[in-house]
Amino acid sequence: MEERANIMVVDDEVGPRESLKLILKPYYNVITVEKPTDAIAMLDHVPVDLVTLDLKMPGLSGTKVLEKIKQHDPDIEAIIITGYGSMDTAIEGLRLGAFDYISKPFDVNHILTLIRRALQRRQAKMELKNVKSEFLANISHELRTPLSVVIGFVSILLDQLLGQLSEQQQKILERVYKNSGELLELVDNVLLLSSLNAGDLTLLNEAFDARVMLDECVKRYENLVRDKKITVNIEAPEKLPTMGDRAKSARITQNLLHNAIKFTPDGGNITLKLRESPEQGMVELDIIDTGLGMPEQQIERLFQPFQQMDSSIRRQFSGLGLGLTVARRLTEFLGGSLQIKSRRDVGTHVRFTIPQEPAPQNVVARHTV
Amino acid sequence: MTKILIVDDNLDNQEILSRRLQLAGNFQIAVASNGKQALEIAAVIKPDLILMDLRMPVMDGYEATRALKQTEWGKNIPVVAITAYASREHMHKALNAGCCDFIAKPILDYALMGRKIRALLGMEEPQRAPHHFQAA
Repeated sequence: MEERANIMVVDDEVGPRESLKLILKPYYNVITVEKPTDAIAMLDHVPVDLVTLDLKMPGLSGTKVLEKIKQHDPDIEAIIITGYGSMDTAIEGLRLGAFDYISKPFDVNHILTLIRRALQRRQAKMELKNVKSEFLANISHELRTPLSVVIGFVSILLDQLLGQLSEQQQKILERVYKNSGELLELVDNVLLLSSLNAGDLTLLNEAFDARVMLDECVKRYENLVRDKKITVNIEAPEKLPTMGDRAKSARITQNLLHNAIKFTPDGGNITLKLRESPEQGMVELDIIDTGLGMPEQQIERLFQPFQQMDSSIRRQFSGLGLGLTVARRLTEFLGGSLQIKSRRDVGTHVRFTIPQEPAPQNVVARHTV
Repeated sequence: MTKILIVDDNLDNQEILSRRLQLAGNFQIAVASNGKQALEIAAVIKPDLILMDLRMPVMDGYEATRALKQTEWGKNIPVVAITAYASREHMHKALNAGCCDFIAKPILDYALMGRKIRALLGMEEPQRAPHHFQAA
């Protein structure tokens, strides 16, 4: 048996609201709402597949409500009900993503047909979304599996579980290990970017310690830092309890730190400053390197995927420049911001700020990025 | 001796895990290549711990874990999901199926994995107290 779809009827007039409810009740679960503002608030608490909207309502105008609903979840279908044959508002509604419109007084069969078709479209969209996210999960699994075999066996050799290695063997295997690690990060970043593009990421809200997270990220690159004789200074409180998405915050930190290490010459310095931001409820991380730096106009370009400064530098430093794009997109996803200040040959200062506790509507809402 | 069952359809992963586990403690190790085989072997050897891959042919790790937890003899055997799936959704799915922990492949920190496993087996941490805890 198919599950009944949930329909929200938004109309400030009690007559049409209740009659529509009577029409739909035999086939669907119906919630009626009088005030548009209540409709938006309710989306956080009840699952809604389709909304019928009277566009001529006091307070928030009908089109504003539609805009808000689509912001909340672009896959919620909407049918506009116009009380006064105004084509303009109907067209505006369609432009904002409504499925169709119908004029009052409407024919019962007509509205039932419209609703059925709108729900079919939603169903198809949801199925496509599932296929997409399943595909991404499978690709991720398939790419990580052989990589885990490479990393697993190399680490067995490196830890000398199968006998002692010569110095040269040890050095070569360390390079294999390091490059496998780079490939793993690349795979993770490409997949993350695809998930962001597919609108297939969920925001988590969990308690974690931002200091511990930072230390773990630094530990991940300890070999790289040692090889390049880079000094990493950490200025951070002993503990920084935070609410938010730990894994995504860690990914942003790793990408920024990895970039800083990559562009800092041997023997340079990287300073990490973690603190509660003066802006209330924000956590702020400064990543200051003594790397190449870059001119102002290059910074915006750097946010584009696959861009590094110019071809000469691209030859000097490997990589797709993907890390920064993913960092920026993820920061936006978390409701934070990323600022970059840089001076050629002096270094780069990246400030990454995320809310310490995301606003509740961000947690429930499904984002399309 | 403590018995650990490794379930993974990838023979290379089976070998990597076995070699690592032999170092993490004095374990007797058995291997299975899918969930169905895992249940058959587990019913006979009654392992103390199962390391379970999730995506496998014939019967996947979720189904095998759920089936194990239905049995009288198997419901208390701890199952750790070890998988190349890296997302939170898969982690929750594994925990819902009855796994008690989740480790993503590739495993980058074998020391941590060893500690988790010893903790689940109720074994003591090896004698490696930090300096400041050592008696003067």
